Formats: sequence, C-alpha cells, structure tokens
Amino acid sequence: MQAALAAMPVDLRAVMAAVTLDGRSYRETADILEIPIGTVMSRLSRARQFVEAHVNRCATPSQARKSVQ
Amino acid sequence: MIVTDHQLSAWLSGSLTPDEAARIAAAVEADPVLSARAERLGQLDDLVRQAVPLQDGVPDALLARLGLAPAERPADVTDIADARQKRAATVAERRRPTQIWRIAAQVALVAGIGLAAMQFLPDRAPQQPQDAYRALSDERAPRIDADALVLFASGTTADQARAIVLAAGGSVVGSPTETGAIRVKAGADRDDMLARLRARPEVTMAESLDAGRP
Repeated sequence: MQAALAAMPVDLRAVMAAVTLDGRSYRETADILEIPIGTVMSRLSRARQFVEAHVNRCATPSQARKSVQ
Repeated sequence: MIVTDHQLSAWLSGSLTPDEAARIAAAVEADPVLSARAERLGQLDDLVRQAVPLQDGVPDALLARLGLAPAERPADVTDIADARQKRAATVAERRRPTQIWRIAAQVALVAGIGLAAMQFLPDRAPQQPQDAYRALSDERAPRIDADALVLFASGTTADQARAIVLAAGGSVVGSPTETGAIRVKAGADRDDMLARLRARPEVTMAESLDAGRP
C-alpha cells in the first residue's frame, strides 16, 4: 500500500488524501484544490481504481484477500 | 439502474445529496454485484486509512523540524496527549490547519516519498490548506535506498522484526518510518523475500517500493 501511494499520480494522491484521509467533502476539496467538483469525483474514483489495480498486481489472489481483510 | 464507480465513490464518501444517496443505497441493496463492488471500494479506503494512521503518527517535534505549522495548544488544555484525544474526537479538530499538515507529512512518510518532499513551494509559506495537499504531489524527493516497506502486527518487537526480515533474506535499512513501517533491502531475490515475509503471521503488509511505477 505504501508503494501504491508513492506510485500514485500526484493529482489523484492529493484528492485521496483530502477526501479519504482528511474527511473533506467533495465541495471542500474542490475549493481547496481549486478544481471542479466533477474533477474531484473522477480523480477520487481513479485513485481507488489505482489502489485496486496495485493490490491486484502486487499480490497473489490470496494475498490480496489478506490485504483487504 | 446503472451505477458507475464514480457514483459509488461519491456515495461511499458521503458526498451525494440525500435523494441521490437514497437512490444509490437502494440500488446497492437490490444488486449483489453492485453491493460487492461497493464493499470492495470501501475495503480499499480502509486499506489506505490503515496505511496512513493519523493519530500520533507524526510528532509535533517532527512537524516543527520540517518547518510546518506548529501545533496550537488549546487554551484549556495543558497535556499534549489529552489534546490529541480531543483533536481526534471532533471533525472540527480534524480539519484544523495543523492536522492537514500532519496528514501531508504522514502520507509522505508512509509512502516513502521522503522528508525532502516537504521542502516544496519555496517561494510560498506553507500555511494554506491547498499547500498541504499539494505537498503530496511533489515528486522531486529522492527515493529511499530500500526495496520494500514492511509493516508488522502490533506487539511485534524490533528484534523480532529484524529476525523475521533476516530469515526472509533481507536486511533492515535505516530507522522505521514514523508509522512503524520498516524499510528493507532485499538480498538475492526481492520477490522471494516478499513472499516469505507475507507468509509470516506477524507481517501485516510487505510491499515492493517500486511496484506500480511506470
């Protein structure tokens, strides 16, 4: 997971930090990062997909299940 | 009803209007596939939060050393541990500027981006919330000379962790991250080392540092 965060495209990481970690709303995140709210939505979705792809790629199926449990 | 990942993400983040949220909730309730997808996305969020614990991960002293906004002690609080508990207790406290910087520092440290990642925007004082999040976007920092990060289950001692890493064919590099993850240099075969580490019950996470990079 640490590697996923390090490798994540920078714009996605910033949105994920604001929403997922800091608990900001989409509106607040949009205001803070000065981007449209639709961009917040799409970047967060892509950030989650990036994490998912990383988990799937870096672990065997059994390890992936262990990681998310 | 077709529900996209974008909509599910917004629903999970609590960013939909009540009407929209109700529609998505009903769709998730009625569709096992959609329900499984929502659960999967929620698990990924949990994984990210688990990887970046916010409370007490970055000491005030480290924030000060990084030149970030110092913690403001509430007037009615004299004990720093008590202050942290109060900070965790309210959403308002979570959103204080100092907490934003703590998150930025925490993500940088956990991700192995390095402390140099915090030395950014030299022409601008890092006091605004947007600067904190943009700190996460700095790619200029040098990579730490390690092949993997390993997170051990709570209760695992440093000596036990070193022994486990050694038995797996690696060696500990430097000191642990602020969140307790250990940087590891692989011996002959990194993948074999990671597989051996992941097989250990004491290991919560063992990840290659360069996995997923272009």
